[in-house]
Amino acid sequence: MADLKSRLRRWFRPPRRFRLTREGKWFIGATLILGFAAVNGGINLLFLIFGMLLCLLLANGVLSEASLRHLVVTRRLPAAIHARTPFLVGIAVRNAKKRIPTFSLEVEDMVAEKPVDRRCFYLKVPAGREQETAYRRTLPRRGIHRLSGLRVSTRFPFGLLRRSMDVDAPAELLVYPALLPVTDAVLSSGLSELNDRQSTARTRRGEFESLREFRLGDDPRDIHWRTSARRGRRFVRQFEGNTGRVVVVALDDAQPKEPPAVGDPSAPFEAAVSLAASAALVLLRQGYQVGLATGGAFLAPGPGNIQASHILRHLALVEMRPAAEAGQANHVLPAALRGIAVLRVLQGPQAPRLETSRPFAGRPS
Amino acid sequence: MKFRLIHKLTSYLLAGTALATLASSDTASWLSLLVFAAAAILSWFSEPDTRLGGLLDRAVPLLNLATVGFFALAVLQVARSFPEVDLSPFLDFVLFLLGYKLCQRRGNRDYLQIYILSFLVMLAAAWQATSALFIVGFFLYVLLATWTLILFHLRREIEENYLVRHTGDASGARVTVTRVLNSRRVVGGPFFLYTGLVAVLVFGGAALVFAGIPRVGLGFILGGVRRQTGVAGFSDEVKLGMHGVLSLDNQTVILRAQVPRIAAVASDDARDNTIASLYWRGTVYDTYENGEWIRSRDERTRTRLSLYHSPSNDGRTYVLASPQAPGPPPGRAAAIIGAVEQDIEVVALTHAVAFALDQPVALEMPPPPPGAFTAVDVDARWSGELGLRMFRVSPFDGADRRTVMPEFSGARYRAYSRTPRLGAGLPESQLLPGALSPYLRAARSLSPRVRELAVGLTANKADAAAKIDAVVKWLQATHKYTTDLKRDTSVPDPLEDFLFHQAAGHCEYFASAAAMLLRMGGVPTRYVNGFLGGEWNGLRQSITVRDNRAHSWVEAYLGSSGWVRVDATPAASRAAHMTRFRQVLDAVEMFWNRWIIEYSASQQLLLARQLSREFGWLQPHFSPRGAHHRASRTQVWGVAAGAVALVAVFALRKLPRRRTVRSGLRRGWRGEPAIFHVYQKTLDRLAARGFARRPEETPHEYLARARKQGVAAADALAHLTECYAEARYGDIEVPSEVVLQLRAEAASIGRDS
Repeated sequence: MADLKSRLRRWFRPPRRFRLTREGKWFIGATLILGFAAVNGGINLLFLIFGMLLCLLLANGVLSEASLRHLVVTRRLPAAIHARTPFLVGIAVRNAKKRIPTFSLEVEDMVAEKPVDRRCFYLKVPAGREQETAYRRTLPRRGIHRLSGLRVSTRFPFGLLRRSMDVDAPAELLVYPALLPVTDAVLSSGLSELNDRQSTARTRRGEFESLREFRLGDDPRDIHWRTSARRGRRFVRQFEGNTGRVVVVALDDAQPKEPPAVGDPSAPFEAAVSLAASAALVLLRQGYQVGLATGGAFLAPGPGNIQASHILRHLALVEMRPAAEAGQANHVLPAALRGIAVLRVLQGPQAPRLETSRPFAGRPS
Repeated sequence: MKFRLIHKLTSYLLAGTALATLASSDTASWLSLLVFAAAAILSWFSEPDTRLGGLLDRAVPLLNLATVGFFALAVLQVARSFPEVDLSPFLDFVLFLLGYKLCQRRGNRDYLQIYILSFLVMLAAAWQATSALFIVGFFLYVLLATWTLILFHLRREIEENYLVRHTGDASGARVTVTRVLNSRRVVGGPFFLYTGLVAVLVFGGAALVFAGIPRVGLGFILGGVRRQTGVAGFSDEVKLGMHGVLSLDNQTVILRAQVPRIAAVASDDARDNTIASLYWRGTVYDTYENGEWIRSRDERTRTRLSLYHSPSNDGRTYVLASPQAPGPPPGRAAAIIGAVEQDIEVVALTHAVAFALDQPVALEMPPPPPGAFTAVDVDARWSGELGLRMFRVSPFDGADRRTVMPEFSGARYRAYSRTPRLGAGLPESQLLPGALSPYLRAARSLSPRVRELAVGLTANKADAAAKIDAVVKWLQATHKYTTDLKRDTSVPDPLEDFLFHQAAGHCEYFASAAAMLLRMGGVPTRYVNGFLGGEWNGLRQSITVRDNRAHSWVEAYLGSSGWVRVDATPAASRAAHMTRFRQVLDAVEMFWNRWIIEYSASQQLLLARQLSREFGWLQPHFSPRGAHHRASRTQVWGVAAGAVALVAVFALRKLPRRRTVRSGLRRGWRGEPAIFHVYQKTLDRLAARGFARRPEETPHEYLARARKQGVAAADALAHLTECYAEARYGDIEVPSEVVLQLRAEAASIGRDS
């Protein structure tokens, strides 16, 4: 139904929109008064000036139309967008006219056929050239954000009227959860202990990066004996990713039995999603293989940026489970991964919290 | 040129053009204009960061105070001018404000106010302008207004929008507006060319609107306002020695007349001689006293008029009859058949008198144009003088309820004249007793010595004609013509001073002396003011009469011959021919007056008819064959001209492209740099050899792959890639000689050795 409405709206949308500016209203008012004075007084030279004002109005319309013709407008979106984090939307305008430049152009993004409050301004786009500029935008919520098109408008040449045209440029933005500051200390308190315990599962598949002096707790197998012998001190090899450590971020996505009395009832859940995303990114940055478990899905642990985008995409779309399902089993881990560390992200009335679990052999409690 | 400087320059030129147009309309005083011009020149250097600018900024409170004072003074002056409202103090105030704003232009708001004030100045000029110079100023104003308003709009957009530049994840960085305003790349030659063309179209459109809007003459509020024209010094009295001093430099055009009989003269010399002897009769006076001619307003001297209405329209024909020829007035046909016909256009007169060639016998006033709210009519004065009156036309009033307006502006009418007017009078013995006594009254201010002279000159003369001859001969023998008048103030009457103490005078003195001497000799006379001669304009086939041709003469009553002109002034040669340049100027002024200043609904209809006739839109089927052929020829010419214009437009469109190719590959296809074309051709050639660039590949990645694949002449490709990347992404223009070199190198790329 909504699609039909939008389609109908597009069908019946006028090719151009006009809106008089304040100066335009004054100009028309002055023109009318002058015309009346000329007719009333029969002063011929006033007719000439009246004609000039009328023709300037007409020229305003023609030139603004010429400015808008033969423009190719494209939107350039960033690769990753997080809720509540400013990002830049690039808008490129190509003037396909052969000789006439386009002056004083404004482009606005549109959501549901309504322009957003930010716009890009182009003072001059020479003929046959392209210019790109960007506007800063912040989206409040994660999820899919749909952009319907672009509104290109100009007040050129005299600023008397604003002529605009809508360009169809539908796009879907996947907005990742907002990121929260998660310090290493918060994570390391529980995870370091877990790491030691799962050392049997540790592997050293990362690429060699550099050498450093041995510190207490380093794996003796990483000692680079040749360098140590040459320098007289022990040196260990460092690897790019500590991929031997695996952790699963488990999100508490059940609707709380007692929602908050004030404010948005989904706010605790959203905060938990944000914390889960933030923690997962920090862990991935530290070299962990990170998996994600929610009530209805499981994402196998993996390292690197690709895994980060998988987790963020998943978290961008995750929804709160109804309270009726809250009693059911929360996270289902594949049997092969049982025994790895789990970082649980729990909803809280004030703020979400993190809990670490020891490696378990069955379903988490 | 920097954008800021261009904007400032066009703004000043706009204000200057408005001022010059105002100056051409003689509306503002020269003092005001000079003061404003000085302020404008000073203001050019008054930038905010200059010492002068700082000084003016500190003087703002004082200037504001002066503004209020100036305004109060203007209001007071206008209030004092009631009921004859004079708005010129307000115009001075507008000029003051304009100068003030030019000195204090600090932001967009100030510039906007400058444009509004300039527009008001232009309106004032349009209100009062009568000279064709207005159209030159108006064209310049349209051109400059188009440029200035666009530049103003761009400047405002720059200042409002060019504030933040987003770079990466950093917060928005402010862009210095000054840097953009000082840029030389915002507007250039093509901008002014294209917008100049727009201005020309606006001007043409304004002309079309001017011609097309119906002149309905509503007169709702002001009741119709007509400009006051008037220069020539004709009034209700003539003071010898005080008024009427001829100024040979006064070139003001008083009237223009088209006289078919003179236009038909084949020889230029004959025509010039004929024109030089034309007497344009105007005001007539019958009473002299103390050096002053006035009208006695005696009913016996009242001009007799017979009115004939045109059966087809509201036109009126007035036939003059002499009071000294009692009986039924001549009929219209009898009056005008054989008379000299003149179409007269009054250009500038303060005293609304119907001028016509000596001696007028009838005047035809055209019907008021459709939609006009004023019309001109004739009223009878004295001694054969005719006045012009302007009255308001209302569709609700009948002809007998016309409201006469106090003011008068230009008029057009047709006059018929006949010289001599045989049978226009009767012998004095057959006239009513005292009918000529107003014309025989001698001045009491003249001493008996004058009478003695008159008697001495006219005694023993057989008739009035002989007396006239004697007086004229004596005057021309004893006095010379001069405009450099001398005056002996010990003699109370200037005429007596002229007769007995001065050896020279101008026409007023000669005419006055002749009139008085003849009256004292028993010949009825009256004093006439008018113009003598004129200048032939071959372009418009008309005679132009200027103010420097003012003249005075006498009319003497000669029985059955009626009133006969007597010119006692010695002949002075005057040029009767205009130079070609002046003919053009005069023709332009005439066209301007007729088709612009006095453009009316009737001329609109005339124009529409002419257009339809020219283009055959309303060509009647029963039109004469010749006319039809003429219309067809016009159509053919019109179509041919249109075709030529189209070809010219296409040629102009093609011209820049050809020039681009010849001028060394500065620009390639679609206006792109030529290097793009060379690079694309190279890609196409390599693709044809099976080494295409992938869509996701950058130029440098493609180059690296080419090196790996061992493409021939990879170094040439590297050179081409570098230049292309600089042009494409760095917006750096590649010199044409480099492009030519690259094109030569590119031929070897990918080619098997």
